[in-house]
Amino acid sequence: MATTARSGGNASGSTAQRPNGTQQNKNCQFKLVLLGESAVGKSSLVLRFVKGQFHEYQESTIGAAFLTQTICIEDTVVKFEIWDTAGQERYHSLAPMYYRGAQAAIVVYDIQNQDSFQRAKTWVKELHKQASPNIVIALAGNKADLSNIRVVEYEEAKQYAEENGLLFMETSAKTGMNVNDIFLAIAKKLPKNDGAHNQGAPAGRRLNDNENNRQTNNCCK
Amino acid sequence: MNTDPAMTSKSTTLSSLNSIPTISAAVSSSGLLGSVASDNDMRDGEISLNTIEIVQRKFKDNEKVLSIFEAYQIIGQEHRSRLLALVVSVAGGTYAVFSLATARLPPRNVNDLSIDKIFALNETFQIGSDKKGSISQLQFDLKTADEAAVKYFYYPIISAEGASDFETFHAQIISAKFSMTHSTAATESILSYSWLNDYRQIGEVKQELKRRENEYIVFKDFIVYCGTWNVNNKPYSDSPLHLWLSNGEQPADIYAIALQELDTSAKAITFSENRPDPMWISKMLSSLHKDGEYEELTSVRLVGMMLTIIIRKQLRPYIARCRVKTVARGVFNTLGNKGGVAVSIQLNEGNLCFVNSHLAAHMAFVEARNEDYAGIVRGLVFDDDLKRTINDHDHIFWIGDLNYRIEEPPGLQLPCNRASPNAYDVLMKYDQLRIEMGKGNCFDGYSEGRIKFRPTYKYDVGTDNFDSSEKQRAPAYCDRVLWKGVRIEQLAYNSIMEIRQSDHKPVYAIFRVKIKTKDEKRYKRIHEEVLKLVDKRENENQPQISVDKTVLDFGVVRFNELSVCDFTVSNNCPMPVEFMFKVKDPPLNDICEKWLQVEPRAETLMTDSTKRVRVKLLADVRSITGLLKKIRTTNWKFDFDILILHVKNGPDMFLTVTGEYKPSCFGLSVETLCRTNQPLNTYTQAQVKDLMNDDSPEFRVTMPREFFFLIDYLHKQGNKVEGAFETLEYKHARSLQFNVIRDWLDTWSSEEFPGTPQAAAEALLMLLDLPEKPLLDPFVEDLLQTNTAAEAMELISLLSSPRRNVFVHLCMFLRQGIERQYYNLQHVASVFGRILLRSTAHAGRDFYRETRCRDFMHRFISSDIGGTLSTGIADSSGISGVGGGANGGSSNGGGGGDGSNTARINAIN
Repeated sequence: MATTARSGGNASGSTAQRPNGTQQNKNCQFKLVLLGESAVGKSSLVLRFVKGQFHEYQESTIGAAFLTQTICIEDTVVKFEIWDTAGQERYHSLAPMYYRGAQAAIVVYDIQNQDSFQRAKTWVKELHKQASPNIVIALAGNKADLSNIRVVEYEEAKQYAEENGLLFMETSAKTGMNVNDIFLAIAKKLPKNDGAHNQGAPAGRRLNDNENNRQTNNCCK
Repeated sequence: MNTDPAMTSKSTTLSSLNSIPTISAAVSSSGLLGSVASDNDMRDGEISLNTIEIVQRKFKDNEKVLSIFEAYQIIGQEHRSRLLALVVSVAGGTYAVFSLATARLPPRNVNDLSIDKIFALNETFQIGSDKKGSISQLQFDLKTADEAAVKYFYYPIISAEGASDFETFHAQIISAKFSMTHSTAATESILSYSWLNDYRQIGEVKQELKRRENEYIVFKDFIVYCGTWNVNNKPYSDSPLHLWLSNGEQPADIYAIALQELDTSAKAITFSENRPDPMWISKMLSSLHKDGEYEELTSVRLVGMMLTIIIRKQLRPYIARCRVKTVARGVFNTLGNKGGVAVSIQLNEGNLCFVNSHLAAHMAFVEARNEDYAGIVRGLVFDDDLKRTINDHDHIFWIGDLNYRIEEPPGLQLPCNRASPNAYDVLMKYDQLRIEMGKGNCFDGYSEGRIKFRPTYKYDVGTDNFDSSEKQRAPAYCDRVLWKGVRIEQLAYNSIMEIRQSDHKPVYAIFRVKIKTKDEKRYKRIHEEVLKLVDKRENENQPQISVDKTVLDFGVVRFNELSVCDFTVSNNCPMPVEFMFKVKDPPLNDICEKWLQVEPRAETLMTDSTKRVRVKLLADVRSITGLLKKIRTTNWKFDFDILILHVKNGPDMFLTVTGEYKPSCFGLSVETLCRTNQPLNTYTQAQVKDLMNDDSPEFRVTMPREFFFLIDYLHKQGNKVEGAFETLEYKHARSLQFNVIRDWLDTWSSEEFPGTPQAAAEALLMLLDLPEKPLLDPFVEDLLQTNTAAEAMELISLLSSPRRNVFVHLCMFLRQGIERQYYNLQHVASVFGRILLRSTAHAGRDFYRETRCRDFMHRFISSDIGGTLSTGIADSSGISGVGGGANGGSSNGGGGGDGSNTARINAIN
């Protein structure tokens, strides 16, 4: 083991050790919400990200599913609490309950569906108006595997995203294209200092509201 | 604590138990249980493990699960499924009972298990039952000094493969405890429970990382330099400390420098001087090995004792924890002239403890020294996350003036001055410390290197000559360095004769310590694996429920009629699930709209059970206003509500409450009613929504027919109206009969009015009270500022024509009734004041405001409105002369219809 060999001798003292995990590593927990019109692939994106799976016929979400996924970037452990919300318009009035307190949002549209892109824009507008001011928003043009029959041009969406300060990627839950990347990009953009994280402590955070001595992994000291 | 029935059988169990799971036997032969899988088996895939094998995977290789037992922990009213496991640590030589929460029973794999409580089988461990509160013989509780009593109960039936029955499990626990507390070979103090700390780590990730430690831990060498010197109150400036502190081929990584008798003045003792002496420390820092760059990590002082930890600068980031603690063992065990000071640090993944002690002096006080040692061990508890004691560390260095002497046998001259190493071995035979350690009276488990130097006490200051004073104290090895723990190798142990400032010579020892260190690459990989595993566990073990429908269709919903719709929630997952309806955002602040009732609002469902949830919908006087407002303002397809069914620790489900509201006149504004050209029962919800949102000034009639029908009917009743308009209680509305009146109004029925005058009066009040805005809107507040009816009339004339007409005719009707003494002016003014001038701002009652409303109505009804109002609205006799014709067209000017409508209205009736 190269590392072992390198750190084997201490006495020479010249080798700068890498900081050891317990102290330098930070654990951060973020609430992330997926928004977007019905059938654009929100649940499929989450399923791909969390379980690496894809179902051709994904059931329509009637409610809000909750999943967690942790990723490591550099020395920080970022745990996402993902709320995948129902896209149907009739449930629109419930959305604030889910995006409130969220530190990140992925607004999804379907690149074959112009209406879903327009709907995404209204979601972005609503988030800018009503979500927490520091929320990191990513725009995902999903179903990119079908780009030969696209109606929403990449450049158009990219320009819109730039104008509105959004992260932007075209994704495919089916092939996995850019799925991890978009979550990773969000994790990188999120502030990882203690303060920023704690202030966002969301009402919707639900980790361990039961059992005994398990504890939410807040940023450690 | 009484004895459990099972406890009474203790004597028999114990005597019959030659199969006491002694540590070595339990590990070397799996015969005890037969089912403990070997390490190789366990590393293989998921080939059908039995429960005990699954539980074993929660533990390290040298910790063996001896027995498991199924129980339920009793928490308040709830029972939570648990697996209790009796586990032995080969390294620690100790047992413990773990209480594991399990996501399903029997557990399918190790991911289903999480450690919930740990009961060390130490002398404070108890298993028993409290008969007082016991509802069943099948109840018992466990407790230790560290873990408060936890109640369990069990079924006599075992479902997990490999689990024990209670008697067996109980007997195994008792015998395990017995084997530890009564073992002659091992005394309590060398049994270590520190392995349990790995499982007390908070959080699954940390626990799992600890468990897999051997996959990423490497051992890294560090040089530890320990020095001790009793300075005999001498000032630092005189001493050539570098002679003492700069030894060794390579620079040390950590220095632990212990001084005694720094200042033993009465003042220092009395005031428990505890400020480290900066002059001494800076002198030390300038006297270290010259090839290292050092900084002080911490110092701790108690009167004469000071312990300074100095580290190489580059180690600083790797010190994860540093705590200090002092224990006074002087006079009455409170003064600090004797005792110990200690430092606990975590370097990389290793825990180190340094103790500097100054024990009781004088040749004869061996026992006092032993007691001081025991007192320090007992009293030294660091204030860290795990309340570590000295023995909770991997590497312990005990240094100081331990004060043990050489007991010279009578008639034997010991070779204190001789230079041959063997001479010192002879001395050591009479060394009290070695003798006491040999007897097991102190420093259990500690080691000391071979002494190859002269006794360090007592010298004439400034010389290398033993005490030549009158006291002639016998030479002794007072100053020692001992160690305890793993992977420690002593490289040097010596005294410095050339330092002559004190009556003691300084001593030092150098060690090579292999300290647990993370291999960062491997750690990162395993850390990520563990995180993924914990995510997977959380996601897969999420409680799930199902509902038999997500749309609750109430069909046709009518005013003042209760409708009911049930749905079923099922728990098909292997654990109990709590569900509850989520409270929605303000202004609702409730789980559902006012027109709904949900029962139950929360419930716990056991596996494979179902619960019928009943939703009731009632649009009545309490809720119709809000319902119509929601219909009016909803852009999207109207739903009565969406309920959020929340599963604790799991997803939310949305249940949509739908149906079609059948419009009624109640709750609609007078303007809306004046826009209808057919009875309301012929309208759909959507049509009424359009009517409500129509803000044109065009009206089909001058005032609502429904209002007119009621006034007309009451007018014809003459004096048979006793009790009418006295309260706002709406008690008729609660009877089914009232809905016949509703239909009579909503169909413009020509039948006789199907109720009493009192019910008609109530319907009239409701007609005026239930719309979103009060009749006199938008001038309510302005009207309350007026002083005369004439002044008010100017504002009234600005109201929309339906409002104005209704108000004027209502007042005239009431005035007439009051004049004829059918109605009481006070009551009428009060009741109509509250309705017509209702505040849209406040929901609650405001009695001051109500008084002003009443006064306004009083004033207005009593004044001669007939004269004040424009002529032609009504004559004194014929209230029936007003009202719009069914096809009367708009009459938005002037106010009111004309006499010609009378016939039409009568025809409608």
